[in-house]
Amino acid sequence: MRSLRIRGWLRTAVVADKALPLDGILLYQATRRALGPQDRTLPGMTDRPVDEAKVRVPLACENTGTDKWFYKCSFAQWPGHARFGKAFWEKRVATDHIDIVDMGRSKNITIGSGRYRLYHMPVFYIAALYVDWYAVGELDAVDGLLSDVWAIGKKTSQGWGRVWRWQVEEWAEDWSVQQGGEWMRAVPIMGSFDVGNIQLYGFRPPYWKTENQTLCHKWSL
Amino acid sequence: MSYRTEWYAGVVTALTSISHIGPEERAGQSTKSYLRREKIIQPDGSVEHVPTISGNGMRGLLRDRGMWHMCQRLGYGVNEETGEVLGLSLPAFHFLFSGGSLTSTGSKAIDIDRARKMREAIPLISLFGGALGNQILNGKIKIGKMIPICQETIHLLPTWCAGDMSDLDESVQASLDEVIQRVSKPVPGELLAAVLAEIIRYDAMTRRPGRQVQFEDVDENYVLSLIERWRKNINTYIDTTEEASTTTLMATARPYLRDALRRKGVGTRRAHRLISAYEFIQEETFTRKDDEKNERLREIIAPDTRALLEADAATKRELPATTPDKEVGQHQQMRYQVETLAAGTRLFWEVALEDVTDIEYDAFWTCMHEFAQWPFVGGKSGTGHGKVSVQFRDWLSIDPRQMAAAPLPDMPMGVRYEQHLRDKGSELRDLLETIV
Repeated sequence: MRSLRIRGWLRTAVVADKALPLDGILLYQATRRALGPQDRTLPGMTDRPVDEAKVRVPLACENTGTDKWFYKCSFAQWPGHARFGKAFWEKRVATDHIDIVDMGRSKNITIGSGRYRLYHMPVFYIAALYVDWYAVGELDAVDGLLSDVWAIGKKTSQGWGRVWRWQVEEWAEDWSVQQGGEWMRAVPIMGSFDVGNIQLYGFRPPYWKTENQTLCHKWSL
Repeated sequence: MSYRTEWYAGVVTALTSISHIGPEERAGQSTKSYLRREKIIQPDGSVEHVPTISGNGMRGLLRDRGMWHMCQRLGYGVNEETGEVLGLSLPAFHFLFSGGSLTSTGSKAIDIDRARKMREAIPLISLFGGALGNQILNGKIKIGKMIPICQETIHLLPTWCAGDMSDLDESVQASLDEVIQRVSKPVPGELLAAVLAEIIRYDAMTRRPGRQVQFEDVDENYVLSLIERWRKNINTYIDTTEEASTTTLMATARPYLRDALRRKGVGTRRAHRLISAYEFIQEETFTRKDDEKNERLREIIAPDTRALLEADAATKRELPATTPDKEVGQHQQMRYQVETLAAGTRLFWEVALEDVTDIEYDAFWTCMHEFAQWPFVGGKSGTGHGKVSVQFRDWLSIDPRQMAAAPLPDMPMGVRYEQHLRDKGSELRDLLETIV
């Protein structure tokens, strides 16, 4: 295990919050490699427990032996030139081909609400030339897992978050958890803490699972 | 089951101007529509708002074409031979063409088999995804944005899409990596000169388009300004101390710079012309006439209505000129402007297929084939906008100008999908009937 800097060179802006944890991306890729493509997802549920024997994330862990263990991988470190922006995605009923529909007794489609509602939804993006993470892990294995990550963040199927090059290199210092006294990621509070600097957040993937969320030291972004 | 993951990239050329309108702050209050833009960060950290065609739009377009093709093959719509009509239920139609929506099933059970069966039976659902009851079927296709190839985006795009710039690396950074590797004995001055030469070549190509870069252009002030601007990158590659002044760096590199520039081809050939995205943007003006006022067309309006219109017009003529017109905002006639990307604009486009089966791969080909029959992107295709040709690198070419002479490549891959639709047609129709 070595200290690493992982840099993703971005072709398009990323739809994500500023944390954008890389260990989640690596876990997804490792699961995909081990178990094949995902059939479907269930909102708010996970029905496939991560089998650690089969699915191995090539990152070092901290707090091992406790239920608060987490991967030694920082949250995304955005460069100074990064900018926020807002765009929209649309969804509509494909009226072009509506003539093949058997409408039955119904004479119209309600598009203001319900299942056929039209959408004009904002997406908030971060535009930057690159984004960095710091981690402790196996360089070649991390590089290998990232090699078929086409894009990161949300709405990647629409071209957001395209990474045109992954650059994984050894880094002289371990900045995966702390750098210069600042927390680089969400770290569960295990002992004393500063009451003014706590935050309820996920500490290991899947970050949305409440079981993986707890009070953490506030990290700097 | 074997899966394949493939990424494709190509260049889309606008054969007619492209209209792709984005939301504006003053939407609906003006007769002018603007192109959809996105922020693109420049190598120096500044931001440009570049018109970009959304991947969502292209994805929806390919989905619609593919699903329409499938529905026709399954016999939905009017059978021209028998006159019989086979209709698709609205929820099934919405699921196929728009992805459906999550609904409460009233049960906490999750029908995993149904999701798998749906993926297997309808390859396009597996490709484009959809919501089925309380489950989401993730799509396996990722459609990139169409990014204009221009000064503001070239640092993000691969070498080949910029035409004859065969020696332009994927970015300055990657290019500098290569320069470092090529210098066998890294003498600091020689190394610095090699890095500077690469920066000069890049800068000349993107910032001073259309100019043949000569040694005379590369004067000391120009190089000094580049050192200032690219100082961080230079420091990354060359072990200089922060204290080393710009002029010291210049003095170190000077003896080697001419040779380094010659090796990069500066002064020996013409730099490729890359223009700004803003030069692609144009404003087109259209007129919609109020045909009520056309004397010849008025004759086909019902006599009673025509009499009312004429009486109304006569009343108005008698009013003083200062009287406000009550119908302001209701007139049909208008002039309006639409911002478009000019014909000839070249755009970079990418598509990724992730873990697809052979039949899904064929289904994607079929979508592209359907798109090729009517290769229009963006809006206003009814008035001729958005006709494009697509040249995927080492892969597929769509060119409506050559359709008659050189049809699309024979696609043996499409055959498996067609066979699937023939073999499993009735099963597929049964499955679609279960979507309520």
